[in-house]
Amino acid sequence: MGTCEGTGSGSLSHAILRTIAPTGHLHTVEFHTERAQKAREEFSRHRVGHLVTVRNQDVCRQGFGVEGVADAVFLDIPSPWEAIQHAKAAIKRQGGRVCSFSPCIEQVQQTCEALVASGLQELLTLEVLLRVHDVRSVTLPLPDFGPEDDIHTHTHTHTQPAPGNALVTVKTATPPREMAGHTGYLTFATKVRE
Amino acid sequence: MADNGDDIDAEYRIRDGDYVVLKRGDVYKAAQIQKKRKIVFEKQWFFLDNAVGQLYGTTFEIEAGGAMKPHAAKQDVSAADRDGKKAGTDNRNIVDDGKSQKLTRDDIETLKEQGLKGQEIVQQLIDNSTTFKDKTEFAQEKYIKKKKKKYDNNVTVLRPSTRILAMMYHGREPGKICHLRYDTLAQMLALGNIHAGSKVLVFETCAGLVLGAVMERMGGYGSVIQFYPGGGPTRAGMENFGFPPHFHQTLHEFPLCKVNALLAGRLEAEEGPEAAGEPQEEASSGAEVKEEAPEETQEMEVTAEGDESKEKERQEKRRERKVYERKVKMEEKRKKLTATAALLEERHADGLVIASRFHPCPVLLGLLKFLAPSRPFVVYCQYREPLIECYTKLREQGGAISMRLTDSWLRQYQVLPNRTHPVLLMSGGGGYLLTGTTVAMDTAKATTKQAKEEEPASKRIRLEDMDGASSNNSA
Repeated sequence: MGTCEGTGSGSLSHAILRTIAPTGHLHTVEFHTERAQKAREEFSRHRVGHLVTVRNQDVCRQGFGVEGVADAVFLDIPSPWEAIQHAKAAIKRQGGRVCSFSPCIEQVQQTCEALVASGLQELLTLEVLLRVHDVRSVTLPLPDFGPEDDIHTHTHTHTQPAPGNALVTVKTATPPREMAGHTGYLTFATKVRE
Repeated sequence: MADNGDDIDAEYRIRDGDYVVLKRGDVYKAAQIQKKRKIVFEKQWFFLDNAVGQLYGTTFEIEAGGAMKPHAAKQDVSAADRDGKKAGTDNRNIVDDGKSQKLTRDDIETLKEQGLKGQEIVQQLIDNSTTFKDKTEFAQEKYIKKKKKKYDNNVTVLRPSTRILAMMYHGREPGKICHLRYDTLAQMLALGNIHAGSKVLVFETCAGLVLGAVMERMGGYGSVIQFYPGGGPTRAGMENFGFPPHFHQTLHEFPLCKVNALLAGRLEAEEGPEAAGEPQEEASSGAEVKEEAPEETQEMEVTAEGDESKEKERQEKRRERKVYERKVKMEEKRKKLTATAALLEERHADGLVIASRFHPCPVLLGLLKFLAPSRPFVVYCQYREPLIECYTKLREQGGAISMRLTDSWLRQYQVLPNRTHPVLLMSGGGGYLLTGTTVAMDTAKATTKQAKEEEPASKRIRLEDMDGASSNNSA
């Protein structure tokens, strides 16, 4: 299974490699020469070099360097609409999937226009966020309404806790005060068989 | 662009017997290609016969007789076509009285019977609508899209994948998969580090969807051991993936009810004939199964006379053959169980995935023992509280770090020029996940922790109160 993407830090590359090993191949493009070289070294150090080809070029101008081999293309670049035609060409004749990641809605709109114009279908844009719940024990004090019954105050039962000391512990999960509310929008599309 | 050489496309062609997914718009249905078998999908009955030999991803039109006709490639059957028609500016003068469409339901049925294609019917509806020309451009596009969807007569045949099946199950029968939403499933596969070549333990009651997703990621490499709660493992969802035969060789199963025996090392002693309601003799040693058993009875036939006694003997032989076959099957089953037990006994599986309707706590605590240290586990639950319990118990017991209780928030967008906004209806929730990594347990520490459980309540509260709740007692 072939995959194409823009390299960046290489973290997504590693995740993809983990998923497509041992028979797949990743073609990744990085226009920053030093970053491209660093990526090559990291892949090699992590013993996955044989599964990936790093090309130092501009994906918007020159594409991925391969055609008709990919089952999927992933784009995390500033102007993905400029790479759509190349993405389409990189995908197999028999069809495949495209995914683009952009922080701004304007980028998403331009990308969708480009996807539609190039004949890709089943467009789907979504936002997904992983929310963490902090598991903790919380202790809540019970209120004191005063003694219920004067006559029986000399007998202390379990249900009459000493006023001012009553506590209840509850196991719960609370959201953090703040959380990452947005990273980017994901836009998916399908290249239908030619 | 001619198709030169079918050989190149051979693996992309639909074959008789293939498991596929039928699609129309956002509706999916899993099916198996079986010639001359009628399929019902979106209120239409048709045969899948004509799909055989076509490429996956082909869209077909359902014809009157129930046959499928492939569309030529590159035909865009989904584009909205206003054709630059006249449009209004707003809806101030449009009255929604339900009378603007001049065609009646009967008229439309007649058009359908005449064999008009979906697109042509939509055109008829536009032509016979008194308000269409007054709608704004956006309203016209929306109208066309809606009608096209309603009179769509097409079906696309797709190759199954986790994405498609997960969306199908979540849309059609979420109860069957414990309401596991597809993005949550994606998180499970990523956080569980499911990859080719590992040994993964799975316990699920999601119709086999989770199992299939795990197997798809493994690509036929490594092994998957599925624990099952009742009589046998549910695999229907997994079958829908249409995996090649060799994938099935990596799949093993083990009954949950034998886990304790396995952990205590008394599995062999407990093994005997499974209670299947059959009067079976001991089949514990393979040597006892004699291959010549059914044939021996032939010697007795020589003396028989008359059809009746011959028929009796035939029945006798059949019964004995059945008994023999059952013995063989049970022996095979026992061998498999022993082999799977051996895999489990090593206790160094690479990953654990749990997604079921059962309370996750005991399941997790029981199955964690089979994981090697420094390996991920993922537990899905439709509800949050049971996972809070798991988290708490694991913290007390030890053996797991980096635990996280998460859920995934998902929102879809409509992206159109000047009409971009989140979609109206949103999924309220997709379930919860507890993930973590195993660590080697120091057994000495475990016993001292148990002693702490006996501490008096008030003292324990003060220890656990990390919120800085105001205390009346000065330090």
